[in-house]
Amino acid sequence: MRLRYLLRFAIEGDLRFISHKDTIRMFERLLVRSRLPVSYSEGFNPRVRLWLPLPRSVGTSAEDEVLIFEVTEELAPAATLGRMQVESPAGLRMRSLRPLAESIRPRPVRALYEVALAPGDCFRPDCGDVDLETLDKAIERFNDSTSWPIRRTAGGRRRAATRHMDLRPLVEQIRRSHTRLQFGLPVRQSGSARPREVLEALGLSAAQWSHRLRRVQVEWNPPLTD
Amino acid sequence: MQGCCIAYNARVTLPERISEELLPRVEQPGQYIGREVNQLVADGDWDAAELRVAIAFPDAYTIGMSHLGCQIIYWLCNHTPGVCAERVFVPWLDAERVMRDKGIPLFTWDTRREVRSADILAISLQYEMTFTNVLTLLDLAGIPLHSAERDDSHPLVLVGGPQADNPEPLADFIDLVVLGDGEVAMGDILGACRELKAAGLPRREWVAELARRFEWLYAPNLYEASYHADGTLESMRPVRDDLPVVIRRCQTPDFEKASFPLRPLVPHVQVVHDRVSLEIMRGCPRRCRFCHAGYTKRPLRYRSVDWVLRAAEEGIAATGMNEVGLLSLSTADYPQLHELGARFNERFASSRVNIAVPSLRVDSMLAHIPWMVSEVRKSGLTIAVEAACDDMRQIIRKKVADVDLLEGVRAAYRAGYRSVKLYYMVGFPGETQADIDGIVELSRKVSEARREVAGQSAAVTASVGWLVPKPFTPLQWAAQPPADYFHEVRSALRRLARGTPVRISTPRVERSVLEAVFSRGDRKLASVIKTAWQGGARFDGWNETFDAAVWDRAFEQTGVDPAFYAHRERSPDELLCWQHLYSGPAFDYLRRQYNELKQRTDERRLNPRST
Repeated sequence: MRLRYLLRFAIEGDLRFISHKDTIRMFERLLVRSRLPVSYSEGFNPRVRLWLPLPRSVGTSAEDEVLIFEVTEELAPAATLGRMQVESPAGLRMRSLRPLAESIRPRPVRALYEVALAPGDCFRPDCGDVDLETLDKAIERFNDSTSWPIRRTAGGRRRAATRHMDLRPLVEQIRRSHTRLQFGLPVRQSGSARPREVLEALGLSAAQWSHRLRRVQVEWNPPLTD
Repeated sequence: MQGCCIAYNARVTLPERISEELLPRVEQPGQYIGREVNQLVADGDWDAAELRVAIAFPDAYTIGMSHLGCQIIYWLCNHTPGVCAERVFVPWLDAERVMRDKGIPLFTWDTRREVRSADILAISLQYEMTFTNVLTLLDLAGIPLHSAERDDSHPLVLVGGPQADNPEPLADFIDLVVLGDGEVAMGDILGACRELKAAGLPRREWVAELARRFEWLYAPNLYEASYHADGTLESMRPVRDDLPVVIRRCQTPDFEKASFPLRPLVPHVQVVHDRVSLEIMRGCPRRCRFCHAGYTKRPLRYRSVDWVLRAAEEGIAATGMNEVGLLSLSTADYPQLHELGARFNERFASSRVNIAVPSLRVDSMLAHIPWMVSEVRKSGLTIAVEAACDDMRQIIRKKVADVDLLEGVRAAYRAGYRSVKLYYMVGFPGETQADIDGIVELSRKVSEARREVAGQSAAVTASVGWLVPKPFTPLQWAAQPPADYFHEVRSALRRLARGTPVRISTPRVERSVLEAVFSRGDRKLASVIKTAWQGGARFDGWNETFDAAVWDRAFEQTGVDPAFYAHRERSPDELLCWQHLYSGPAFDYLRRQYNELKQRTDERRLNPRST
């Protein structure tokens, strides 16, 4: 018997600095430590059957992420969630757990990001001087544009390749609300914008600001209901 | 509209600075974040402790977290009342750059405390090529490099581990050296340091007091070396009457009950040995003449099958890992390996946990095929054959015969294995062309053996290492062949292997020569290490960072000849700079072994059929 479950969780603090691959390994071990009757893949190198449908960039914290995994017996969600929280490393917060029908394959369609610009959120003068007036102008310029050509570097160290692309259609309207910068990025199979590319487009150095990115919300198709 | 909205907070703490200034600026920040599952230290423990220990591994986190010895010491210290121990690793080059730029001092991984605030900085010395990393640790921590320049505000710099058996090249930089097993030694040191601290004895005075108390604790700076005109050692004597002339080795008496981390740390990022590691045996019944560990880690001690299974059960439950490494110098010599394998698979196969064993000996491999087959993940087979010819193997006392090797690999192929890695060593005294040619020849036979079983040849990697003669072995007097010899051998092997299924893999010759310099080096090498480090030498064990030119310049600038240490055969009556550190069998015994080896290789060269 194989049963699927959907876990919603948040990843915060310095744990956000682990990679997508590390996050998968973290969950494989977390499920085993939590004594869940996990299901394994067949073949030469059996792995715990689990999926993180929307990868997260190193350094980006996330408010509401999704993990889907398979087990061989039915789980009691509340007790299981409690056990998983106990076994979690600092920075991993369990939100909810529920069964997921085999026929449902949630697909991310939109992700909403925020960057905190507020005093007190940053400790050092070298985190960059953000002139809000300049930033607002940059936001306006970006929002009003119909096209925003960028160069994207892809591939590993050996096969680094650069390609030209238009960022604008991949980013919804950017907003600044007091000290929060907010933008939505549609998730498309044909290609999506990277949050750091949006920061760069606004004149915010990704090296200085990308670790302050927070994925606050993800919309799914079909929508997820707890 | 307000301009800059960023306000500098003067009360920013070191942990916050690491999060804000270091982690966003390095390539793999996940290795620096600490707070892993099963961490034993919580916020506040460091400040509340009577004694603070920083346990450092002089390499990257991904290597250090794979090292069982550090986890044992970490576990032991943090289970000692009044003691708090936190882990330290060497920041990778990008992190070191950021830390220097921003003035971030070296910190502990657990709760990010300044390493400088420790009472003891305990460094594990596993390998010669981590010496420059030791200097990086000290310098980033703000601890003077030279022991003589430290004062009571600095931690005591303590080293242990296999490379500490000859710590002389680092003598200027360290305060104390533990010889032998760490479990009992560390427990005794912690007890004594707590007492000395409570009594208010200034920390620099702990060095002599500890060295006086424990016969296995060596304070190199309290020993004076004098040299002959030719650069060889004339004498090595303590500068105080109450210190021993010869340092003994510490042994853990009850191996089964010795402190062991039953809840191993779970690294956030992938580390080289990402598994639960269990030391099932210490010492080795073999006497391979080149093997430092085989001669020094005596006597032979085992843990029971019940202990191993219980520790595996606890380790897996506490970590969620899917592999258990059964560690020892020669796992095939573990007396109940068959029983262990069978019971392990019976217990863990359904939870997809498999066993990882270091290289196996061929003569016992056949017996283990049944349980190796039921392993969940079948990795390639690794066999240490060391020399290609039967007679050379006998001379170096590596008891493997070609016929057993081929029979063994056939059995493995039948069980489903498809690839084999063979370890060879080149540079033994009396080595002939036949030994070199034989490497490819034997590897081809091992590859072809699969054709008889599975219809096609196997992928075989011949991993050829260059001999590094080690202290406390019969080869401690031997000369390492010059670098040109190894370069020629490498070219010849590649030529011979062309068009065959055998892949030749070799380490950097320049690095093996350096290893030979430092493994038997004396304290005159301190200036070379420091000069190379100042010239930028870092992570010398890593191919991507090793720079032989930096070392060449360091030798040139300091006027030290590396050949004196690496390529010179020591005369039988030469005083060796590790002779006052009693770490292995009596030198008379080793000398007899060396003479016998030379005699047999001479006979073999004169009459190739005689052996």
